[in-house]
Amino acid sequence: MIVIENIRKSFAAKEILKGINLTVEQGDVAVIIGPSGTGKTTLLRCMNGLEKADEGNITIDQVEYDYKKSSKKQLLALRRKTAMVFQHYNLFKNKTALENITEGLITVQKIPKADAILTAKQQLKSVGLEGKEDSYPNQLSGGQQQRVGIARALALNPSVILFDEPTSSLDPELVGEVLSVMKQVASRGITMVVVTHEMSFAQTIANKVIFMDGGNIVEQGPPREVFLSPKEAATKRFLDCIYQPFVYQI
Amino acid sequence: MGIDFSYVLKIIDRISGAIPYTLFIIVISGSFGILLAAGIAAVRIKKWKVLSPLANIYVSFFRSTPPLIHIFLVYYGLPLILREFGINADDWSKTLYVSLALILFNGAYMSEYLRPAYLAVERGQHDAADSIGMTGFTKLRRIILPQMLPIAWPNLENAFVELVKDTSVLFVIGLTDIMGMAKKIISNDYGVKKLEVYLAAAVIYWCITFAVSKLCQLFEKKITIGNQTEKRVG
Repeated sequence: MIVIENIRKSFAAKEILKGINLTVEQGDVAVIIGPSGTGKTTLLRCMNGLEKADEGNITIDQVEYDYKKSSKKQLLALRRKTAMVFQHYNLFKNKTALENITEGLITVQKIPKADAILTAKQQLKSVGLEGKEDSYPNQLSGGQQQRVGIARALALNPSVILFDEPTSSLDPELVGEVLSVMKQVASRGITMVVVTHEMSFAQTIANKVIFMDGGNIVEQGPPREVFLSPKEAATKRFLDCIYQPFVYQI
Repeated sequence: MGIDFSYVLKIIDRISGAIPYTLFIIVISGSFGILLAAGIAAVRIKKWKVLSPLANIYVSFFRSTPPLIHIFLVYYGLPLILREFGINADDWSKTLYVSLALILFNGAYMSEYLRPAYLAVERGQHDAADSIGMTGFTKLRRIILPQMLPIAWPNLENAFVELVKDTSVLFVIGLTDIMGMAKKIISNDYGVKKLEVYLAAAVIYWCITFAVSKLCQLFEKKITIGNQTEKRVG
């Protein structure tokens, strides 16, 4: 279970997160949607301390982290409870697909190398990349790289996997393969927090939709409620904008 | 042509006695130089208070002045400064002074190859390493260094080659390196066959430089990341 309390974050003079409170239950697939620049990614990056919030705290499975007071050691503990899948994949360029997965297992979790390799192979298989073990990131397509990224996160067996716009930099025809892997991850009961613009994914896979606007969580609930009968005006406006076909001409 | 090639060969043989000493200076100032450079680069990247502006001044000064002057400054200046602190440095060996001067020069120079290389590694690589809970040291060793070394290496290789040639100024404070030996031979022979002696010295420098760059290239193959292989000439 993840409990976020009163996270605030400013960049220079601009306040990006204005006191966020959020609870994500074990096994939840929580999707964060909202207009660009509302702090979705910043919130996600605060959850594993890649971005240091100015104040507030977060608890992930008994690991408590206070952004103001906690030590480096506690930051590592928080990060070891989470894993992240990035918009630009961020696979280690100097490592093969297999090594990308074993790296964290060996250097962070101190798992014996042989076991780590076994786990990595299984994970690669589960994302449909059997046979790509020895490929370097620049030999893989975007979709394949992102699936390695997901396998890397899965292998760590974290309390939650954070997805930061995992399909935003993919070619349209590759989005499907990544989404279907994510769907499969969700069906395994792994807690996921996903920032995405894929509304169909949010509607069909998520059990919780969080709508953010202007640094606040404006509305949250099951996808059916948020998408079909939004209570807040800002949510309505956002959804109207998304679902209105042909609103712009080229 | 009036060049006595058999004399050149004879001189090469005599000068080569100074090769081990020259190599010693190269290895000492190269290895400590790169360590200093790594420290300086780290200070400037992390922008540590007080230290960082000092490092900036140091790098700027040593990169903008010739090593010949560094040798004089260290050789004549350091004992004066140490005396202020009650340390008598009068009988320290000249080798120590020149090594120190070359270390200071290379520390400044090489730090400016390491720093951009570090900054050239994408932010996302740091993020990924941090996100899986790596400590800063593990991240540096396993992810960042292996990616920045191939970027920095061609420049570092040039710096090592420059270093070989920079040792040729050691004779100015009376050390018997290759150039010092050449000068000695010339004055012993009352300046006869100068050209042959300089030619011999040139050949020896060429050989050392060649060996150094070959060694560097061997290492470069080791640090090439992933499937990136670049054909190179020389």
